[in-house]
Amino acid sequence: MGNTLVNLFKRWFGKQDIRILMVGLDAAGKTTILYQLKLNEPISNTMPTIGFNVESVEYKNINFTVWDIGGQDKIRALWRLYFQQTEGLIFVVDSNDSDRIQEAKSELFCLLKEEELRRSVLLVFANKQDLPLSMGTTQLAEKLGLHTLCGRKWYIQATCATKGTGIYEGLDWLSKQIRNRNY
Amino acid sequence: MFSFKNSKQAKSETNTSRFSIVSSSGQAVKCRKHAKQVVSNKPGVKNISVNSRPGNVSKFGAGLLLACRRFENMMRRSFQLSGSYDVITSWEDLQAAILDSKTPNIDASEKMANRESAVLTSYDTLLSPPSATEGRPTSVSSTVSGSSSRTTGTVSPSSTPSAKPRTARRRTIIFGTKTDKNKDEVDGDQEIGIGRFIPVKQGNLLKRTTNSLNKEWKKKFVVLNDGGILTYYPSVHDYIENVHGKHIYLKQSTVKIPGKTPPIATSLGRNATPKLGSQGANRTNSLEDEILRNNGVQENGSLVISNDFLAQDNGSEIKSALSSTANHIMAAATPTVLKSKPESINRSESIPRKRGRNRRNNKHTKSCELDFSSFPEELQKSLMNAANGTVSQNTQSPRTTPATTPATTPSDGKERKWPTVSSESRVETNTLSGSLKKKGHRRSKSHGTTKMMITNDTKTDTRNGTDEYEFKLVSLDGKSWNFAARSLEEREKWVLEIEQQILTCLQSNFSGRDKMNSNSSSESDLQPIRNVPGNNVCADCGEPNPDWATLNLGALICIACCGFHRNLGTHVSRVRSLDLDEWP
Repeated sequence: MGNTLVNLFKRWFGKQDIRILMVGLDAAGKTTILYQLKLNEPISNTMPTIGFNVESVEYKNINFTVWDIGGQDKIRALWRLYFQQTEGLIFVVDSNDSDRIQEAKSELFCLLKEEELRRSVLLVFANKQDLPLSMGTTQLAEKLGLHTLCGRKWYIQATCATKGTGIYEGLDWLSKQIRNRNY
Repeated sequence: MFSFKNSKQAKSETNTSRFSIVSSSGQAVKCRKHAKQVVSNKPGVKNISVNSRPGNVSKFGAGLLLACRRFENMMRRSFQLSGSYDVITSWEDLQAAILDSKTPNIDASEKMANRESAVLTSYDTLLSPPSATEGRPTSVSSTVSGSSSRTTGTVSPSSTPSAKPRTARRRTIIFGTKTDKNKDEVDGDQEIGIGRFIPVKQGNLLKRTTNSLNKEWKKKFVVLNDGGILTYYPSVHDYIENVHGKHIYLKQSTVKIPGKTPPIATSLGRNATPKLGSQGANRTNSLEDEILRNNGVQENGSLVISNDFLAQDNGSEIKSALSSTANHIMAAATPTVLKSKPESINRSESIPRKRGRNRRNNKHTKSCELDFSSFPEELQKSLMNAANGTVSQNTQSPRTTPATTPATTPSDGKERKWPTVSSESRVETNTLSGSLKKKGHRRSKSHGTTKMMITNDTKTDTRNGTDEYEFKLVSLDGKSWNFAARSLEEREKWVLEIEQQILTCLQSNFSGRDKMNSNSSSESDLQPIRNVPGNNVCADCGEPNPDWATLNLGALICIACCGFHRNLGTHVSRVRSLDLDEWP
């Protein structure tokens, strides 16, 4: 009983710190999403990220520390350094770029094989929905082979980072998952 | 064994301290440094001796000579500086003394004294009065007093007559002999050879601990090394001694300026450039510049100006104009101004291509002011026109909200001279800080272009009266280090250098794919691409040495323009990095 109360109290008043890793191929829109979250206003034309960006964003009483890591080939090799204690993985896909879906898929499956990410939930952002050739979420989920994932909670969310649509819906799902797991 | 000793058993009442070189070749540099330190710290040093122990004769040689030589030079320098002394002995004397000590036939008096060393001394007789323990006259020449016992080593100078050795010592044959020159060369070579890498950048910065309660800034000596390692020491001396250094590995870190969002800030500034082409952008920039100068805007005063600007009758229109893309404004404004003031346009076009690099031309500025000061209404009109024009033109850009405004202002990291940007972003800031309740100021800062950052910085600085310009290093494991520079330029330099180091570190990184197919590209494979005529500059803005390529358009572009290309989508332009991506 007392424990429940404490949990409830924590749930309402306590702040959680959650470490989120945001990765994806280059030019998928990771940095744009990050700063969209941070600044809460549309931005565009971010330069390629050399290294990484990190910002903490508070949403629904959860303090998300989002690590946005560059997507260039040589920087991808560093992704694994960031895996420790990552509770949520955001994978950003450029839905307009059908040519590189396979590359994105292989990168994603490489990530999910990692032991350190075994417990983390997967949120896929199907970004750039505003562009003419963009694929829908069902199509993307199929192409990325998300249905073949077993034992992992995943969710795909259509977003348009430059307008800021869809990002918070994804974050909603993420926060729900994290809450459910902790209590 | 030789070692450089500051033997402090020297008689304190005479205010003399004594240095002995008992050196071995390996220790030479260290000795020198040590001595330098001590000597320079103690101008009252009077008594210098070179001790050589007969027992260690076999170890004498180059090491000792070298050390002595350095010591000599160093002493000479320091004493000349302090002005009180003319130092030591001649090199030949020193050698002679050493030889002397090696030979079995040593001076009787030396034997008697059971001395272990031959001592070369130079001292000020005034400051080293005769001591009671050493009454024995020296038998050697005026410059070399070849007697001292181990225990009374400090005493030998006291026995020498005051006036005589002094005059003798004044002769400075020491520094002019042939052997000396040779030695010097050797010295020089070794000094380069010994020691550490020359750092990319070093200097004093302020550092603040992140987790402890004591949030004071502490001065640290920070060294940026070529391998992507930033090291900070409590002081310069610690750096010299190479102790107490703490390392930050830049490969796994990023640099943040509080309140600034680096990738956006820079790209924001460049936003409109590729759409307009370089020509248009040039004109735009120069015009902007002129307009702003027309209003008497100085770099720091931009805030005020922008407000004034807005306070005028047509404030709202101008505001809207400002808050829509600057380029469009200018493009629209250009014809108007062209009609009214053709020569100003000419001038603006004469401004060099690379925007914002180097163009604070004073003469230029003046004439602009003259031209425009009489036409404020015209300008405003043109701006208004521009404002009307922007709405229609704006549709082509994906951005719809005016909140993105600063994105359009042409500035990048280097172009901090543009007052326009700050004025615009100021507008932004106001609206923003109004809307954000918590941490309003911070966030509004963070929104901005570099430009805005500066304005805000100067603002806060003047307000708080602080001189610190902060930047922060965050490593991937969540550690962070707060540093602060004394000036904005200094901080910019540091940040630039650090970012450059991060980039080079990442470039040297190997991607996973690289391992799989070992025949993948290297730098040499890409060199032909760079060598193609026209590839030496960015296809869009003309910046030299572009590192990014658009695959389907077949052009090299700079990193800022790369941002725009990526924004267009992969169906328009596919961008890859020459250094950071693998090339098939």
